[in-house]
Amino acid sequence: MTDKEKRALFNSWVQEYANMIYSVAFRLTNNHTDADDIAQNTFLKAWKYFDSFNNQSSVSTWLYKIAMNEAIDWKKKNTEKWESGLDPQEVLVNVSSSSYVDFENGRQKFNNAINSLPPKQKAVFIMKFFDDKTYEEIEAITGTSIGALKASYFNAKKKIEEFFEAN
Amino acid sequence: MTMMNFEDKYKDFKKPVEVPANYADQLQAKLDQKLKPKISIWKVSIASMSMAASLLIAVLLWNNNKQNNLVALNSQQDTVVTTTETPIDSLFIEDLWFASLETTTLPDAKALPLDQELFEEEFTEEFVYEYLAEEDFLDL
Repeated sequence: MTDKEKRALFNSWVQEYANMIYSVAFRLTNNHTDADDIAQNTFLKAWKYFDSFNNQSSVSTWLYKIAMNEAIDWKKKNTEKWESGLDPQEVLVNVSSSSYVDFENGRQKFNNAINSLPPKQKAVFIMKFFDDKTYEEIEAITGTSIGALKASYFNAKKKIEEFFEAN
Repeated sequence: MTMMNFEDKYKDFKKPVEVPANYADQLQAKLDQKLKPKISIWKVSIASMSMAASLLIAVLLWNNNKQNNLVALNSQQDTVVTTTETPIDSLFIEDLWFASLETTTLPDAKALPLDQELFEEEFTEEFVYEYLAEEDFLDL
């Protein structure tokens, strides 16, 4: 494959998976700037290691795995943001319906509950709950056994329930 | 609490992330910018330069068969443009194919400030590749 062919293929990945990577990064960071940074770093790393991609997993799984690792790295540098999970853009300022307010309050509380999870557990929960990944897919991404993933997801749900009850 | 119960209970919070409009294109533009070749321009002093080929002489260095470091030498302007940041005197000079250029050394290489405009106008990668192909320097 020539450099031009590689670049063309890489660009097609960007077009196909940019939204997916941004979405998972946003769920993990709760803000646009960091999600965008993680998305950029994910694809830059994918380009850097383009030749090492061996088709043993799908492109989306490979990119997802890189994004997860990028997000974990981001977390190490931004522990405070990760734990607060509060995005000013997410705060509603103009609301007219009390039911809508209740819904948004609930959604914010749900997000806060997720953000209270340990990093890897949070990642597993997001992959399973929001992205409907199978345990097999999550295993391919994280390298964690399916049994451990099931336990992690179960515990995450339990903690979220407990968070709701306590708040 | 079973999995289905939990997911049913919170399914309304499961709305998709609002991805910015045309995000893929925006991201592509940022990546294109970051993945542009790093360019260094080096001023060289070669006595026989004017006797060398008047056209652009370019060579492609294959580094471990993976990364191609493009080096373009313009005999008229005494400049060398490379997509690496490697100082010219530490490149594999002996591997360079200078065609009709008789000089075999590149002494006193000095870095010049980046001249992006020069590169874009005269030394685009595509231009060099095309030139190399036309002149049969490379079997592309």
